[in-house]
Amino acid sequence: MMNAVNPVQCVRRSMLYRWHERHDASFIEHAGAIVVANYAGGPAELAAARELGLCDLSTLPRWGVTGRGATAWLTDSGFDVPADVNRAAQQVNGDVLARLSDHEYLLLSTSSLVTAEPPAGFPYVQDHAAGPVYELPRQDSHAWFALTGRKASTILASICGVDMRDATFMDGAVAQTSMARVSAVVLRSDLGDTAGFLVLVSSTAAEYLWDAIAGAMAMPGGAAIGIRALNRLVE
Amino acid sequence: MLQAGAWYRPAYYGAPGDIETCVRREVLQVRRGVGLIDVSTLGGIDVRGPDAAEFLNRIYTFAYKKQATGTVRYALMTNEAGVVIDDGVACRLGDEHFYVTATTGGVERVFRAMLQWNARWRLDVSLANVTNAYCGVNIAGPESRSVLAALVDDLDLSAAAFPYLAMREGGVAGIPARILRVGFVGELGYEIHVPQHCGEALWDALVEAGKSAEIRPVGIEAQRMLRLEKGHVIVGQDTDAMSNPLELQMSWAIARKKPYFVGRRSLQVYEQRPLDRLLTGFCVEDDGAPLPKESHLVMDGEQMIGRVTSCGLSPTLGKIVGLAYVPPALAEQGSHFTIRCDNRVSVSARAVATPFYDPDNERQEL
Repeated sequence: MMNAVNPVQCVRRSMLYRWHERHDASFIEHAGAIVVANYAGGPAELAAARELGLCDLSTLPRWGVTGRGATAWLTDSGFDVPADVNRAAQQVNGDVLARLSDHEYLLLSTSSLVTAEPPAGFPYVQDHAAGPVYELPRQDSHAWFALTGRKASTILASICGVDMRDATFMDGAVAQTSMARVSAVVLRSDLGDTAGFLVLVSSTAAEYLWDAIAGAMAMPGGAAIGIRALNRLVE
Repeated sequence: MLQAGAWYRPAYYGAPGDIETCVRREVLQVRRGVGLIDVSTLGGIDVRGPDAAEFLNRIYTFAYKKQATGTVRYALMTNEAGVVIDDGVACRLGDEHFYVTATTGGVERVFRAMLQWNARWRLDVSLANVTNAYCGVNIAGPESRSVLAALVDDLDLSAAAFPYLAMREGGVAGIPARILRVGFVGELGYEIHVPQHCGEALWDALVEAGKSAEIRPVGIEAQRMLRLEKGHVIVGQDTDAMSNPLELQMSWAIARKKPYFVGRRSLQVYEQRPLDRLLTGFCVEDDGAPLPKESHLVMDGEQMIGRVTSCGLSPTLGKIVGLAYVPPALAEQGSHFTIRCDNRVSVSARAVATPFYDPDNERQEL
């Protein structure tokens, strides 16, 4: 991990960086982005990640594509493409590719949680010879959170109508739904043995949803966590 | 802060309750120096594909097939009844790529209408609502070019290279940007659209670069006055559920040679009939008259014959100007009509042509 940095020194800033600063976050450069390394740090945050943790991944790489040729292009480019809508497939490098409709996909660079580097070839350039394929600005249209831990599905039940318990919302499941009254995309992507939910919400509602989730987490003893705690989950 | 649709926007910057002083200061800041307006709430839609130009031709009243890449055109949207429902600008980024803006409160409606219409038309286009992917800042005023020049390396901002109604892509303070020259406030200005997560950094960079020019932030109350001084309409304020482009005196925005656009048939019917009302500019010449307010009625004796849609004391012109619906005969320049203000006080108004300020548009085309 690199030395601590100040998010204000960077052009790309999470919508939540002021919240993080108020909660004594330490920031680092990671995968070409500025992320929270930790708040409390050490065993306390790792324990929170295993029980109930919330991590802001908004500055990490992600990418979207749509169009009639999207499926063929992704397949030809070597991606493992989910056969069904509302399913996600883990790629060889650890990234997660979610199918949001017949022709729309979302790629989350979950590999960068571990490698501290953007995935090779990112941002991808589409080859129009495969048919109409259009990029979507998912790096900026949505904020990205990870909700982790044993109690995560219980928290989600209080703010989302979709049943996300283990038996019904397993690894690779995707829900395009409403969370705390705003539209959100939720992917189940476990981190090692720890339940993991990747939440995407409009950037313009990032602070609102973060506050809503953090509020729902308060009573069961949840906590905001940094990238170091997430890394420890997958070691 | 002011609620605008689902958003909160800054009404003005300064001491709470001191709105008149703050708005006046901000208006003159843009007219004489340089100001910054946060326009991030404007809707943005990417229209891409082989039929992108055809799609815009059908959705909006203006013409887009021959629009050159790197240019901006006004985009007026009507429904099937010919009623104005939204407006914005269409930027052509390539043969098959347009980026269109919509009003702050209207983009969801516009996007939904686009999807519904294309479900019928089945044109080869991809439509993406990218409102939340971009931040927008309008830097406006005679000093705006010099301030922005300090932050760009790969763009020629001269009037010859980057004229009014052009669009360029390049780096601003190291941030990839789409830059539009539009004239909503009637001064030399640049509307800069950058990725959402870079918006704050862009604002910080512009504030820093503009220090020597005493740059100031400008809220939407000042923006509303600035556009009123230019006679520009605000959809939803100067338009109602029946307003069509003919009543708004915006026939210039209708491309009549197009075989089809949504609302065309209805407008053809309206054109065969005399209009009941026209939106006209007016001024109040009595310095001691009270300020008419929005929705104050235009009266003929005790009969209501129209209403005020926008009005204010112009800091630039030093007089009261506004827009009102009146019978067509009273919209002729020089005609007088009566506005009933609070406490039944009558104010005499005179119909005038718009723009009130810089009628030849020289300042916005610098």
